[in-house]
Amino acid sequence: MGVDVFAIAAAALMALGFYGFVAQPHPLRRILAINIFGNGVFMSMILIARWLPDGPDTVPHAMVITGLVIAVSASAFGLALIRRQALNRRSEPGSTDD
Amino acid sequence: MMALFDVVLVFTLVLLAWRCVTVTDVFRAIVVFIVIGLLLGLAWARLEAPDLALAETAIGAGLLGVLLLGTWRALDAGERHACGHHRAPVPARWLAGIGSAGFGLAMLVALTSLDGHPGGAGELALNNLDAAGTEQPVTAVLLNFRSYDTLLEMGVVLMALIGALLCRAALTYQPRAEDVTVDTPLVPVLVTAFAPAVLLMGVYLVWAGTHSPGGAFQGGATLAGAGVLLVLGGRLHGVPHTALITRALLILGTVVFTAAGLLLIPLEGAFMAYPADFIYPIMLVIEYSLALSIALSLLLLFTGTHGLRRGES
Repeated sequence: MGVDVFAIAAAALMALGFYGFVAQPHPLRRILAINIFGNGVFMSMILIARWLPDGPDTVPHAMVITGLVIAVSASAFGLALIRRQALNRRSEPGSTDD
Repeated sequence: MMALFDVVLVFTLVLLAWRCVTVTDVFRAIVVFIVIGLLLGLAWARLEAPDLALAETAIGAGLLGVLLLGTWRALDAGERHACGHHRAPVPARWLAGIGSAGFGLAMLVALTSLDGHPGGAGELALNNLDAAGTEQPVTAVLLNFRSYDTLLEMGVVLMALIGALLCRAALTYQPRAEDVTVDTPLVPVLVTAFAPAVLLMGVYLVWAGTHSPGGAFQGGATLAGAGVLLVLGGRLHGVPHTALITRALLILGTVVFTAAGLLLIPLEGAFMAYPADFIYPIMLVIEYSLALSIALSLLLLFTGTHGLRRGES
């Protein structure tokens, strides 16, 4: 059996997400990177779901839907934190961004 | 033919992910991320996961994209670009690159060398589909077989919303001029034309979840999308206080789900076990209440306000 192209995509998404998280300090970029990493994880779970002989396994699918919604909620919370941080920085004029 | 399509799709995905993490401009990174979300939807469809394709395009690409762009706009020019230019130092980036490449290779080896051990939960779910009250296996797993997950997930969504609102409590909400006035006559017309159609699509997707791809999450996200459309078109406004009805709708999903689980304990003898005769209506009620709560939570995460009221126009 050859290498599944989607397995390459899953591994690449995880690697790129991890790299982006380390290399890009901007908080918005970090949220993007975490989400790319998460998408790689979702893709591996969907690949594993295809092992079932009679049709794709629905349990990983349901878990991925749950994961998606939670990822978006957590990202939205992160984005609210970013906005709050920007507001705090603006209200103290002496501070510089780090 | 489809194999070629897969190769092109995967190549584009990886290329875009590379662009997303390396491009210097934050705005571009966000736009690329939204495109990645849409292509991932296509990839899920290719991987026989239509439910996920719907969820990814509605939630992952659509709503998260809107949230990201909204946050980007809230940052001022310095914050948008200042951090973008001083990235991590070069040695650290090289180290991170080597580490990530090694990690990616290890994951690839792991994914290809694992041999399939089918069975367990997946087969059990497919074999017991008749008992679930829905013909659609993913909905059956979400609302019945693994209902604890979904209940707790609703809790997580609610907690994220409360957290986000607490963070932004200090932001006194004032609709800015560009939020309210629309500089083209096209937007109100388009909102009027599209919002009912999108609402209908959302309601249909929730109902469709019982027998075909769709469900509370996809439908809820589509409903939230209709709400975003109305907010952007000036038909709905965020307000800094919560009406009782808003709170009631926000917790509706969790409350109905828990109540259905608890009230039927005397009949069935277990938490979240449903009587076989009424399982279809119970599933439908749970699904719609979940969808309403999800839609309102996501919409309030977008506006970042405690409540909503109708606009004047």
